[in-house]
Amino acid sequence: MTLREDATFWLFIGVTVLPALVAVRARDAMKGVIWLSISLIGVAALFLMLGSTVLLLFQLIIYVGAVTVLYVWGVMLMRTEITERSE
Amino acid sequence: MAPANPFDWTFTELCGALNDISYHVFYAAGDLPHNLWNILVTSLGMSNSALGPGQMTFHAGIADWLFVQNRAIMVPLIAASLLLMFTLINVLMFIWVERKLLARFMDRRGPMVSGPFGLLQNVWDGMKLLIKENARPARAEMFAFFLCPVILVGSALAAAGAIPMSPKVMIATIDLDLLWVLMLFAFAPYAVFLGGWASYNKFSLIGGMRSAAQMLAGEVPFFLSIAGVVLIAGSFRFGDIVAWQDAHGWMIFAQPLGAVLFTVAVLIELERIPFDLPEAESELVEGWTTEYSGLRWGMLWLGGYMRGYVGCAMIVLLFLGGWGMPSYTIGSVPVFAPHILPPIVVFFAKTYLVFAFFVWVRASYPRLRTDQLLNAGWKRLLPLTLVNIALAGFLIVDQVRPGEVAQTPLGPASQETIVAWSVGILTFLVMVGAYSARLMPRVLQPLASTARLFVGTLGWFGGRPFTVLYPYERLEVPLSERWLHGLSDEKCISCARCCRICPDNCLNMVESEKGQHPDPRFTTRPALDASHCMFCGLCVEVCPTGALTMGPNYELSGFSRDELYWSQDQLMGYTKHDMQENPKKGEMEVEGPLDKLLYPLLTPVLQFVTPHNYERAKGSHVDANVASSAIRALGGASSDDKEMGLIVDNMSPRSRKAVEMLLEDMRTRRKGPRDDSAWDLRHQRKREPKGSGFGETPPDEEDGG
Amino acid sequence: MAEMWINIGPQHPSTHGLWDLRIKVNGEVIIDSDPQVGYLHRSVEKICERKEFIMAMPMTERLCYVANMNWTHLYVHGVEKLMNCEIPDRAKWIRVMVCEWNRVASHLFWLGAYVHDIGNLTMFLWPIREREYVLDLLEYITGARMMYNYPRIGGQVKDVDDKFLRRSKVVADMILERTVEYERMLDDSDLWGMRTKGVGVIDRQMAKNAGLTGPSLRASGVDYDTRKALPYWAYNEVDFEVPVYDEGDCFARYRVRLEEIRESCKIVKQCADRMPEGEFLGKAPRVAPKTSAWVRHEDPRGESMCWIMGTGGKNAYRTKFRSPAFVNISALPLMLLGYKIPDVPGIMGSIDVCIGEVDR
Repeated sequence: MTLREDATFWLFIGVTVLPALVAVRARDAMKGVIWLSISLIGVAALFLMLGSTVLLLFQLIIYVGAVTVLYVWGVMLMRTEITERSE
Repeated sequence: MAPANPFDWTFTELCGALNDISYHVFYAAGDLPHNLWNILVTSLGMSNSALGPGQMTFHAGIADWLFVQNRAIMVPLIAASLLLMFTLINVLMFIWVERKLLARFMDRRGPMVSGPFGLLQNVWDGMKLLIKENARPARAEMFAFFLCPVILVGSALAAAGAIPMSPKVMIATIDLDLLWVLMLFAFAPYAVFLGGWASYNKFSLIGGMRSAAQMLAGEVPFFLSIAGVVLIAGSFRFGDIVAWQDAHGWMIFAQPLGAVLFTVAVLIELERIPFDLPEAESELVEGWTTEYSGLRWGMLWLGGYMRGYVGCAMIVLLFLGGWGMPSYTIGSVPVFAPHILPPIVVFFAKTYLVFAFFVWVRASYPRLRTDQLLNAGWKRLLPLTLVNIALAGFLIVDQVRPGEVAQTPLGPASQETIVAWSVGILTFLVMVGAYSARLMPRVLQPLASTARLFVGTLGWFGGRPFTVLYPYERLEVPLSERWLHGLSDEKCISCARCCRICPDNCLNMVESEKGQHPDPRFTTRPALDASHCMFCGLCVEVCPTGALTMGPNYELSGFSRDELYWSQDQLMGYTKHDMQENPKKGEMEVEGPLDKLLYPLLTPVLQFVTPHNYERAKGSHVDANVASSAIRALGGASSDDKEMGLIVDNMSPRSRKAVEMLLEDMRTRRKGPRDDSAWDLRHQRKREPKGSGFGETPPDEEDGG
Repeated sequence: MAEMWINIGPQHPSTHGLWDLRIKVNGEVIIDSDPQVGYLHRSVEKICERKEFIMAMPMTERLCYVANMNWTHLYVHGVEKLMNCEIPDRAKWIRVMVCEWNRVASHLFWLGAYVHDIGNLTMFLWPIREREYVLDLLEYITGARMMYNYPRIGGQVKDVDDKFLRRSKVVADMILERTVEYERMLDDSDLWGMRTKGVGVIDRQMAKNAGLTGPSLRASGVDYDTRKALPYWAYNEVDFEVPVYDEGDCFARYRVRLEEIRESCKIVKQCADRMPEGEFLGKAPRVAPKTSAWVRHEDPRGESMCWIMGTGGKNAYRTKFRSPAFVNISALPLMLLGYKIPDVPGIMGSIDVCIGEVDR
């Protein structure tokens, strides 16, 4: 792989892994979900690198568009101290 | 190579041409200082410092690097900026169409003043938002707060890029066009939720959750209702779908149910009435956008209308034939003569008509509660979309012979597979239908009533609106109209009955120097404090001679409190007789036709000089300052100045006169006790002697004002 | 989500006035409510003690500014009863006519605002447009669009002329046609029904116990209208129906008011035809005795009462107004229990509050 491809690959790996680490360590559940969504965008970019635009689009529609929102609802509906931030 | 006629270029070729033009412009612009320097130097005779042809040519290098070597980057950049400009102009036109059309349904006009037909109103509204403060809550989560409008507008713009407008203007199309647009619509619930959560506000959070729930309930019907279109046309590309419609007729005839479902899903996605509860004012104030102000709020609206443009464009491309017009002929006579119009004009005409339909819907219906909406979305829309897919499956099944394998975009499928899927879905739907069969009457009757509501709104469309364009048109006021008083000097006998009867103590008798009554005893006249007057008309009733009347002058506002104090000299000349001769006396004249044209265009520039302030603008502020300092000097540095509470700096001639009169009062008051000055009377009442029969009150009543 | 108190107001676009409706919600469902009024208190009753009767009348206009003919006439009726003063026949018929016109205007305004709250933007402007015609008529005889200051002790300040009577009939006919149009827009509409049918129900017994009066009471099945029960002026001589519905929900209250618009238009037409000749302003004594008087009227919002005690002079010792909207608000918590937050503007609007008269 050329230098450009290599650099892009490692960039997308970084975008996938690092936000996931931050999400795991987040104290506020909402922030964790936001970092998770960035990580999922990284996964979609990796799909593009592997040559499948279909999977890129479906990953973005389903994971970032729907699953993230469902996670957020789940977090909101469980009324614990971690969601008391906005009270 | 691009064709010779520029009208035959595609969008990409246009951007390439712009790129080349930019190269030449850049080059020439760089040449300019070069040549100017030479001209300057030779004219001054210092020819040895003139630049030769090869010197100072870094502009050529930059131009070359930008526009020739990186052509592959510059052309898309130019294309993106053109797309941005074009979409923004489109959004402004959409908002204009909405405002005007909604107004006409409501029997009123829309924006009328800024620009011809109010076309520039949205431009000025955008500028107003620009100069407003971008307030933010102190404890808001700044990154998410900032990101929400970015995601909304960015996704809308990217979706707008995938919409082809004509065979020549395909800005950015990919194999999976439709999925690309769907993906970008799917970002919206996420952005809305982010905005609601980041605002650190209980109500924004609830509003954001509701909004996200509503959008998500709209996503699934959104996808599924166009699954039928994709099955029939066989491709995800917009270009292919339009080509299929050119060959086979508009998709709305092949998929009527799909078209209706898709329209409803788009209305849900765009949060338009009847689905706009999350942003309804009468609910939780502004919902999730409460904390957004200034241009950020403008961006949310912008994103909303851009998505509206994309939604309408999708309806046109998928169901209404895109840029093609049907070429039906009766015998040999063509029914439509469509090929005169360029396809891009046809496309935009259709898009605007679809949007006008959306505005019509907005004018006709109330809004649904969120839970009713979610009910409708998941329980009614979703099964109907599945029915639609089954119907589409039946439509295409005979395109594939038994044993053959069809290439669908998602891979090969044999006829057996398609039939099996269709039968499976139908079985599921029969079960659903059995459940909803008892609701069948409720399906037809709402359709009838909905249609009636819709058509009823159309009844007031067209024709002259009920509203008047004030101040250019005014209504006639009847003769009995009770507004600003007029005083007839010859008739007033200074009886002070008007002052006595006024419930609000607005009238006070003041010494008049110009009293014209033949009897020299009657020298005081009433002066009116219009800031307290409620125009009840009691003073006019008790006036025994009819000296005090009320006329039709209701334009009383001023810029300082003292402008609302009408002395007796000012009230004279406004009697009913005078007002009948000249009904607009005392008002600012409306300007002539040129002013009427110019002022709306110039208003943002002349923002400190409004038409109502015309008189003040005609005078000079310098005079006012001189007069005010003189008045200050006259009045002295006593505490009476503060007591009066006047704003002495910006005074019109009328208020200056009032202030002079008051200061005259104060000065004479300093000469000795004088208890009948206007301001004194305003705050104290003279006690009437008992037994005068005039204004007697029972003995235990205190009369202190 | 937990239980919490939410403030609807005091600054809110759909409360139609300055008051604070606090509701306790569990998630989305309302479990308690606590209306708080008093933000618009202007001591009108106290002012009426210090001013003469005629000077205090513009204060009573500002009680319910939308239905101000009814309030001024209520006050003047109270004063006349206190002074034992008779008014001429023509004045009685004029009073019935203008009070009914003001009822039409008030109900039209209510309809526009209510429908706007539910979301139908177009149906806001059409009743307002009809109301403009009524206001133009009243402006023609009184000189003002809203604060009419029309009655005096003993009659009216100005006479009505034939042009007003003729135009009244034309406008009444027009409004009768247009109410048919509103019915067509709203009654059969499924969306309207989803928002108003079965929402905010209060049953008959509870309505009577809570002191609810006016269209809200008649929508719960109680046939009580002060114009029929204790007729005053010329109400026992005009022919009109009182609409009564049984369901007690927002839709029933809307229907009652729409029908009342129609009935009031019919009353106006009868008055215009049968207006007796004669004086419009009779003689009135200058001072009032030291007794008290009490009158009851049918306001567009319910039953309004005025109790006045005189001092022997030209002003009142105490004036007390019973505001129907004030008591209707106290019945509001009963109507809100168990419904959801988006129903609040619907229910709150359907009892037609005017905060001017609530707070006095």
